Amino acid sequence: MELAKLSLEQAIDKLNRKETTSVELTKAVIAQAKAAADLNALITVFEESALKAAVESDKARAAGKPLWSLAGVPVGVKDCICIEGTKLTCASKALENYISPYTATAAQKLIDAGAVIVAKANMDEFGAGNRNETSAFGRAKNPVDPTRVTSGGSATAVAAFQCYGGAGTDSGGGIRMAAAYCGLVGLKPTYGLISRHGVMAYSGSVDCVGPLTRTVADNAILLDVMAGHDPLDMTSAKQPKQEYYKNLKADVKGLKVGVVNGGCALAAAAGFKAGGATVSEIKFPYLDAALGAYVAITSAEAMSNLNRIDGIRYGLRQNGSGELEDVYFKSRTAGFGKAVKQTIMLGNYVLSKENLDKCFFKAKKIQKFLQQEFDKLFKQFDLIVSPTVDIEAPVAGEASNPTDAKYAVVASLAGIPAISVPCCNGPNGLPMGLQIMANKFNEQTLLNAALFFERAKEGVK
Amino acid sequence: MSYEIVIGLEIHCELKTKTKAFCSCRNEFGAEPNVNVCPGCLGMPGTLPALNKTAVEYCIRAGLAVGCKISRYSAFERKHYFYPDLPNAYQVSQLEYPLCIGGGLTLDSGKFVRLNRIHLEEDAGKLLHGPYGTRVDLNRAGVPLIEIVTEPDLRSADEAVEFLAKLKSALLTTGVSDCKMQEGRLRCDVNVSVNKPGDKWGTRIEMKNLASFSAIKRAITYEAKRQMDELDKGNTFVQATRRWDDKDGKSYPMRDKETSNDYRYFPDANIIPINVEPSYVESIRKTLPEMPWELKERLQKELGLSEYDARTITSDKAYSDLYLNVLKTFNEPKFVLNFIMGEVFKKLNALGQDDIEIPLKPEILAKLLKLYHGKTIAQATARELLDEIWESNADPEQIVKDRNLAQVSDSGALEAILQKLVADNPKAAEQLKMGDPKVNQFFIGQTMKATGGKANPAVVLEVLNKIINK
Repeated sequence: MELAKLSLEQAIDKLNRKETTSVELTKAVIAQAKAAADLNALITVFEESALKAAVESDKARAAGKPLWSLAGVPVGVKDCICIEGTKLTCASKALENYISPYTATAAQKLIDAGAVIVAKANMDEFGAGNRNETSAFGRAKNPVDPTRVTSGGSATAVAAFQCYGGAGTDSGGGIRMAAAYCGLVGLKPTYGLISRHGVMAYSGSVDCVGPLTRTVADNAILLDVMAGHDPLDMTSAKQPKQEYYKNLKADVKGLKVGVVNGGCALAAAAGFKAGGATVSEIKFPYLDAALGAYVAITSAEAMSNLNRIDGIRYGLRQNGSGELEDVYFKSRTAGFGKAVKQTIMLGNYVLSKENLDKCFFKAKKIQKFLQQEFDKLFKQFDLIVSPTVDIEAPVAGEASNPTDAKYAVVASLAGIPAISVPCCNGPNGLPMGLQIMANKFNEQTLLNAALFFERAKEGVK
Repeated sequence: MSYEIVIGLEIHCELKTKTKAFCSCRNEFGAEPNVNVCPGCLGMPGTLPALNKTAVEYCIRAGLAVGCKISRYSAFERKHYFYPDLPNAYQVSQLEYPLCIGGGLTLDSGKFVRLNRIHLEEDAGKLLHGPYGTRVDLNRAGVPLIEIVTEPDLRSADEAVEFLAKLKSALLTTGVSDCKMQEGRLRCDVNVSVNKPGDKWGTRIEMKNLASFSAIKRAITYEAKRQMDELDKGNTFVQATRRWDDKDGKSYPMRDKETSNDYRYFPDANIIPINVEPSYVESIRKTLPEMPWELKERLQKELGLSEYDARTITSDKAYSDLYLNVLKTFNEPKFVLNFIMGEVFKKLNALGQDDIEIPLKPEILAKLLKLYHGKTIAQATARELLDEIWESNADPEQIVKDRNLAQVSDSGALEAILQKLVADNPKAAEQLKMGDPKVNQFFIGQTMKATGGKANPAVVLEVLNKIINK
């Protein structure tokens, strides 16, 4: 148990000092996964292949071979990220038995860095939802309070010590809201910083892969590994390679912090003053408009992306009468859950001839406006701070409320990096997250501020 | 009362890039089903498009060849519909921001047919129907296509076919496509409407995927007539797509479902828009070869060909390539032209293809023509040899030598034959003496018969005159 609770940074350190082995770490997290299987964090556990990889890693280490940064460290990835020869379900019945023929770039980078992939994590079906209640394989529970939701099995797994860190995806808060609900650190990087190649798209114009970890340092370590240009993703950014972990320091000196108040954001952000930052509240009256735009754009894109799941070449197929249209109809009806169907209906509505201009293109205009607003804000401020979500993790089964995501989606639409760090506790004593946003490709500033906040909070304890 | 026919074309032309439009699979025709496929063009989860730069270049190249304006900014959209040959259930295409705008081509009549646009898109796969049922071959899925859209400027089936032939020739010249209609690499959607002169345009009917010049001509002719008949009967109809059945020679209505799609076009977020640098466009423009209409003018000016001859020989790249390449080793422009437009055309028409392919190598034809021009062989021999070497590309000089096909111009050898003929045909000889020229032909024919067509007719006449006038 204690071994599983190490941070990713500590686990690497112990491995390097030969105080533990990859096999021990892998066994420890798999034991956690088995012990808390009822949390339903994971869809597939690679017990055999993970242990095999751990043995190989230990052998390489014993032989004194050069080791990459994550050598021997067990991590998990969300089940919309492809790994060759393994199931990719996207938490859907439609892909229940689908095996991916190739590996996503982000996953390959983890593997190339020596990570042991232990599991594929539960999620909302194809990403449709933000409480992980729409999975065809049942909801993932919040380890802090299992009656409550998480926003993703990856967060549950990391919070429940079933891996040392995870690769999640974030379209409109997937990583950050999960982090907030489970008391973790979750980063949605700048759009394009991590390749989306091999990640089943929900909404390609906002989807981001990012790290979910228990500490800020762990987050920087995973970001170092996964970031980088990929010719297989045209939207992948060509940025000089950064060393986030190496350059990580708890520092906000001289930074100007603007706060969009809500929850405990203003009180929490005041903490940055102690580090030499100036903090001021800003007006940002666009949250509702942003949410509407987000829903319009992402449902349209999700509809389009999900059309390929047609039962013809792969995935669940129901022949019905055998007529082509019946194959489509029956396969998709049986394969998709309610939330996915709603998204598809909405996407079709948004893109229909009658609504294209007044829904989809209007939403794109709002997105453009938001981007311009952020450009202006970042001339004044280095960081913008808000709640990640202004409520505690909701109780499972409650009617979901799209406004939960209103703070999260602005960064998604603007394409800017945003991190959620544990902040205060809510009225029920559950963790809440502080969202810190920075201008594009300023992940280092973001991580440094997050580290400062994490240290300050530890100091309070 | 007569009607005016209004026709617009949408031409789909597969580009001959090495790889597909958005993945690195090979773009080749005729491979075993589903060998040139990858997770990307199979539409598997997580795959993303990587735009083939050569496809963009070829589209611009085609646009420049036909006088389009090249867009500074160009972007891709998704066109949604479900069909098993379309793995992503959307086709990546261009609606709002096509690469090429405007342009056009001039018909022989001098009429300019305007283009609306040329845009880049991806092809779909193919359904294979067989005894086992229907299967899908996705080798073609994702192959880059250009769609060339005309304005509704064409007024007859003949104009449409002429336009298409000129466009095809231009595209072949640019080298962006092999334009093989038989392989479906060039196909055409036809929009036809009819109206009384002076009236507004009639209701448009579209027929998709016509794959030969004859189908296009027949479809337009049939459809225009059908619409006129309907209107004459006082009937009206709605804008629709009809299916052309080339075997029946008729167009048929399609189910509403198949024609009333809302394709839900919207921008493809995975493909970043292209900023087309003017310097890049200029660099492509510099590499454009001489276009058929430019070649036509040059042939008139430099070789003194008539307008008709120059137009005809440049009407297909296969003709002009053959012509120019024969001239390289045998520079007798008129003689070569006459032979190609006579004998070679006869052979090609006998084959009756849309896709002109001449297996005979120009240097071999040049050898044959030298033999013919130098009177080493007779016309009949030249024709026979053309047939023989058409595909084999055997050396005509060698054949003439091996089989002793050289024309008999030796007056001694011909004299013996002719003396015998005169002796055997006293009546004809008498007529000839009286100066009846028709009998000349009789003696030439008989001499040809006796020599296996190898006699030189001029020499025959010369010898004959000598014998008669002795």
